[in-house]
Amino acid sequence: MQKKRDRLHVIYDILRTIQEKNGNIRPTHILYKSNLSHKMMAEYLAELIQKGFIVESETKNGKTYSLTDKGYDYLAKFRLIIEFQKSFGLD
Amino acid sequence: MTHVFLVPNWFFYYGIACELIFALVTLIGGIFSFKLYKLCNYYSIKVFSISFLFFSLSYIVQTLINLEILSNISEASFSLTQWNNITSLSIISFYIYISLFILGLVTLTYMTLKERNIKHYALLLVLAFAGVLLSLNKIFAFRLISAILFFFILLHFFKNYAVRKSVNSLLVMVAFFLLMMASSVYIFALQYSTAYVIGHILEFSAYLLIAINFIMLVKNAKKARQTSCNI
Repeated sequence: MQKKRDRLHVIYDILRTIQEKNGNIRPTHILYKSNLSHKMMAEYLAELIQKGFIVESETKNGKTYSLTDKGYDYLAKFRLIIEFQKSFGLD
Repeated sequence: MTHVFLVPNWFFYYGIACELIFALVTLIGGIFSFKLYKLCNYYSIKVFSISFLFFSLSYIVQTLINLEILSNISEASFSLTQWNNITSLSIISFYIYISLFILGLVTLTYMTLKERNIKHYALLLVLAFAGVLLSLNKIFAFRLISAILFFFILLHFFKNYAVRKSVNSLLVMVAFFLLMMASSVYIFALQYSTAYVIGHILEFSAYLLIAINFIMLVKNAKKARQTSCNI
């Protein structure tokens, strides 16, 4: 059974999903990959936009999201935390 | 009541240099993990950083006192009073060193238990200190308790390596195995000066592996950051 994710980990998963799509992803894809309800996803996306980790763009196909430099920084720092936890068994 | 190790004359300076390196590695490790804790607020990382900072303090105290003793002995002539001062200094430094080291060791052991119960932590501390302070041979008791606690810590890192099978977890497991061996070998330093040297070599190897692990973590993080920027 998968362990319950904390808030920081959910943010990391969302940002990583966006990064994997080369920084241009639609909401439905985030919903599918991040394993969240629609309501929770909308809340997280709003928070990430407000904090400057992602930007929302309107295209002819609908909304897309991409990472900012701040988003990339967060990903790098959280990856370091995860690797640190794994190497010392702190997770 | 024994308060001294047998240290070979030729090794005294090298021993101080080693202890300085141990202090540096544990200090960097403690600060690095504390910075990570500030980013994520994870309790286990906080406890880990506190334990390493205690280790660092213990090594700093040990280094400073050894340097002080060395400077006293180096004087051309010294009196019985000065010899008594050196002995008193050694005893005081020994108690400070073992107190800080036990604090670090018990904190690290508590972290491996993966629970948040301050009573269990307090119990471990009291038992460890009682075991050392109430024994006739304090150095022997300290090294034995250290070896036992390192063994329990090693079990945690062994289990972590068995699950992950990564280079980083292997480095950490081997490092703590070497620290456990060093603690065991130091027991014999009460009678054999070679054991003091071997113990330091084992500790040096252990902290070298821990330092390599930290460097690898930072390098991989920088590499991942660069790669993600290039996408």
